[in-house]
Amino acid sequence: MENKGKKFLINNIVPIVILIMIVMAAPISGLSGGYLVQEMISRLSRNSFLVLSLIIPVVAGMGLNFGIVLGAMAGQLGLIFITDWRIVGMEGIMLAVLISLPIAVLLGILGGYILNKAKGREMITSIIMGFFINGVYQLIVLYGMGNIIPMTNKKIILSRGYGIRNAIDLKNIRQVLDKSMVVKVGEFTIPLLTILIIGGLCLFIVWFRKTKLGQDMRAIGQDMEIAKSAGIAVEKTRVLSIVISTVLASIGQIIFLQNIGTMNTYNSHEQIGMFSIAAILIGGATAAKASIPNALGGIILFHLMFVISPRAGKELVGSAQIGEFFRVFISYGVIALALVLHQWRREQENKAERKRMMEIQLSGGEK
Amino acid sequence: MKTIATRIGVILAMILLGIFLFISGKEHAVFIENKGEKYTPKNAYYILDGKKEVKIKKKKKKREYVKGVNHTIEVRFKDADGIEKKVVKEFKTKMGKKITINAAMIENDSWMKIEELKSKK
Repeated sequence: MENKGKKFLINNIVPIVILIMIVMAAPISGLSGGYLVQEMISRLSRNSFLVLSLIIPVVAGMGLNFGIVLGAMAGQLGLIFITDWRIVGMEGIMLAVLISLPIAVLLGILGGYILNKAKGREMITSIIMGFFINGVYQLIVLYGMGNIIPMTNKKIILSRGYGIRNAIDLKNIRQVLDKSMVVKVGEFTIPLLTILIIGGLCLFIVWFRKTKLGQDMRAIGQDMEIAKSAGIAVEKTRVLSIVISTVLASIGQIIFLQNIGTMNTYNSHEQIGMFSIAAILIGGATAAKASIPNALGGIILFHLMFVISPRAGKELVGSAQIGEFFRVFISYGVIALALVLHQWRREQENKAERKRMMEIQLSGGEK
Repeated sequence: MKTIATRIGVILAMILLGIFLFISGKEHAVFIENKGEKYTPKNAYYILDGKKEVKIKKKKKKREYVKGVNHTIEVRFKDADGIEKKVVKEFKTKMGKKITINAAMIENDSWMKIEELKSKK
């Protein structure tokens, strides 16, 4: 019984620590329960798709895909085009998705091949790859658009005649998904269509894991060499996992930005990888194991921290600016904490495994 | 061979869907004015695509944005004899064309003016 409790504690150390921090900070912040619930509903619908896109590469043993930034860039390119062409409403969102799909697939294939060359160091490689493609994206958006790629909407073009403005107002598609099917439960507003889309993705992930490809990915994630000897095309399957993740991230970024209503052309995609990974880690996922409850639970915990901590900081110190520092401190601090706790958890597991093996050897010896 | 055919089919379907979304989701500016040749009502009221009713004063022009190709406009005004009139008309928008609807002349044949959109350089 004691062992079970200890195991539960070790397995869920990250969410438990964050939960304790939330419980401590919530009364200090002075925010009402109703406000927090509404914020969580809104943020869950805004971020879930992006965070869920991280699950499939983890299953395939590729670690946490910081390369979802690539997908986010593809989504943003789709949004730039529909804003330029003045495509509005649901059609605008669908066309943005359609435009971003081939770009995301190409970037995913590129990412997958690069990660195959850097086996064992996928996470850091995907971070650097994100930086590299970010440079290419900036070059295209800042120089190519309006110069090589024709742009007609003067509102999004810089005054010099080429390059996209720093911020684009997405008023044509602002909260189209969130407001098209709304359910009121008491004082809370639930964006039903967005929740249904997220539910659809969850069902897809559950179904996908049971398919041959999903099983192959799991086998590769457990042991690449054994999977190779079993006849699984390891490299191709790994590329596919990254392509799926990148495509989902591109759709996720479109959902995210339609909720916000403004796009920061040169920065919106940069934080996506960090924030999504922080959220899934807080939910109790590791670089080797991630599930849907990890993703959804992580978003709730991460955003609770995000909402509560600046207010708690302000109440404690008495300065509004301090609250903003709290946001940065929380987002990056939480990733560091989650990774340290993850490493500690792995060490604990290894220690327990060694102890178990020793006991087996000793009991075998006694016989 | 079958795989290639399927892939080409998917790409074609995506292109067709893209064209459909482009046409049906394209936003057009429509100008509505209240300026008749012989008679102009003091106020005219119009409802574009079943949205909110908008008042347009005498000799004024308003710009509205509509999505897609097929639209309806409902115009309400008092004629020269002071009788309340309500006219519903259907119209289509085209890319690169500027559409001006004259609420005061909604009963005439020349209620809609279509011009080439001039590009600003």
